[in-house]
Amino acid sequence: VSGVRSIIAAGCLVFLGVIGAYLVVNTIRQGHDASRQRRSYASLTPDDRAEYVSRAFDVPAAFRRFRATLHRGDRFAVLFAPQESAARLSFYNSFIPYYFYPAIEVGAVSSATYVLVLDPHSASVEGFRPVARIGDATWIGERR
Amino acid sequence: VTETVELVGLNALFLVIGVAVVRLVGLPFRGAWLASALGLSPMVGVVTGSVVAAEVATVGLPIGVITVGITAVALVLAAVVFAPRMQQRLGCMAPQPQTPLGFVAELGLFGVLVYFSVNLIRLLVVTPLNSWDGWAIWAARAHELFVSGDAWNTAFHSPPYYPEHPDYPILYPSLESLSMHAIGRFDVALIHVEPGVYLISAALALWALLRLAIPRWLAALSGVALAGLTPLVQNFSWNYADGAIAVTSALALVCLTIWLISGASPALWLATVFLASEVLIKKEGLMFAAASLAAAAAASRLARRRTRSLLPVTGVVLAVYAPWQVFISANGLRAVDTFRFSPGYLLGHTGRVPQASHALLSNLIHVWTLPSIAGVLAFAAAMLTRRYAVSLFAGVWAALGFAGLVGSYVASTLDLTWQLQTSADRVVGTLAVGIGTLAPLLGWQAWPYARHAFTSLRPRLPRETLTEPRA
Repeated sequence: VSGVRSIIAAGCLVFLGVIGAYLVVNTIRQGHDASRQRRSYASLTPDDRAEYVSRAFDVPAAFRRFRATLHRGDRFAVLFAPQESAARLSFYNSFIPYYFYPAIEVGAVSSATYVLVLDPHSASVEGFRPVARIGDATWIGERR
Repeated sequence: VTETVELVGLNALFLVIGVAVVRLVGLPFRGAWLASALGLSPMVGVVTGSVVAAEVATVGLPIGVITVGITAVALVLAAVVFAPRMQQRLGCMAPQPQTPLGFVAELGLFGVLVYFSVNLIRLLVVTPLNSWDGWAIWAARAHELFVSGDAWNTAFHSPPYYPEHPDYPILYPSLESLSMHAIGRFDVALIHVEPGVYLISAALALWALLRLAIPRWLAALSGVALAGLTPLVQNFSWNYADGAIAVTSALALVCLTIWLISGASPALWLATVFLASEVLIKKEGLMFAAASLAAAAAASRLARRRTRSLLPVTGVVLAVYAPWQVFISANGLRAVDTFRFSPGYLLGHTGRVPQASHALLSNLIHVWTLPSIAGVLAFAAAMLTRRYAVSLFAGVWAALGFAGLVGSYVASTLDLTWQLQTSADRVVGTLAVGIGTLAPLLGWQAWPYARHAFTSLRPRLPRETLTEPRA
């Protein structure tokens, strides 16, 4: 290996050593950060943690009530107002299966035993009786 | 306290599995080898236990702590019966000699890793699920595996659950569901414990592996550096699987490099374990594993290793992946797939190549800056000092991995700009961590020649470079 090659390679390795040393310091800093960050989460109650996503995305309180109604294996559907934004519906597409599990979301109301209705124009859904009303436009229905 | 004991118990079972597998692949548990064998055991145990759980869930059997227990007993029996009879070739792989100063450095670095690990786990046990894919995909699927026990439940193949990507392999949610089985409930904070254990075990495993090829203090430095890599820590604390695939893939690469350097068969079998795990973590795992094997095959002749030694490795990896592929076909989950690999589609979307390449490179530079620079510097040093075998391996893997990632964006049916914005920074992590973890090995290969620049001494070849062309 020629002298020039050796010198350039040595330069690379010196720089590599500096990066390695920096990364070790960074690991210590990550430990500090983790310790500091813990303080912001440690004060959360189990309920705060369980509802963290729903609060972050400002999910209506009706969701929480509906979750308390459902049991494992219950089949449900959620009806939204037609004017609900596409971005919001996209969020709900991911959130609903996560939030209500182990109750099972079904695509169609015809397959559901429970419905959560968030549509002010749907005062009733055929085959379902209201079991809880949450505000004027939102209600929970159970199959008759 | 009870839940802590239960989680520690689960990880103790993983450790037993790891010890058995490490013994089976032929690493000695004695003398200077002991630290490396024990250091590798937690990670090998976690991935082996998770692979078994994922396979069991895929074929429709319920998973739980009992699955891990049975696996542990079976592997310990196998290790007791078969390990003494197996003849493994260690080649020139051996724990590197230790100087007193190196010992002090290694001890200090161990202290850093302990400090980091304690703080990380203490943080993770109180962290709620707070990042989209973390709750929407991985936690949701882990919860479903916990409740139903296997992958054949409604949530894994019905259309309302398609946003959870039911076509993604299930090693990561299987691991998390095991921790839920251990404590008996789904917990949005304690779900992060196993991701934390995964990262710490991977750092320890990297340290343990590198000890067999480079000075111990340098191996320790590499392991500690990996543990605290900022985007990696974020990925694990957000409950993303991208961090898991990155470190698993990196460990497989390190094993293959050690095999190329030393010809040690335990390194090849350990690579098999990591590659087999990698393909069940995320879809791109198969691509990265194929890139690793292709790169090892390309470099094997130059390193004077038998290319056909890679055939059983490939066979095991494919056999581990096959049940998941069958599951996807049986449940019609190809419909969920957002990729089209037909030649017509790919040719029609080649215009995506520049944008995808630019975004991936940009994320390598701006998000994964230091591991990327470290990898490039070490590659340059190895090339300049004519360490061609290991350079070729690293270069081919990185090139194939990068091309594969670009190809996946070309084949995607989703909006490219949106997809790059939401995923490029994470998927490119496997490339960055891979080349970053190879840096100490490449650098140490180059060192005997590069140090010529500092001293006028004739370069002295370390044992593991004897198969390389002389300078």
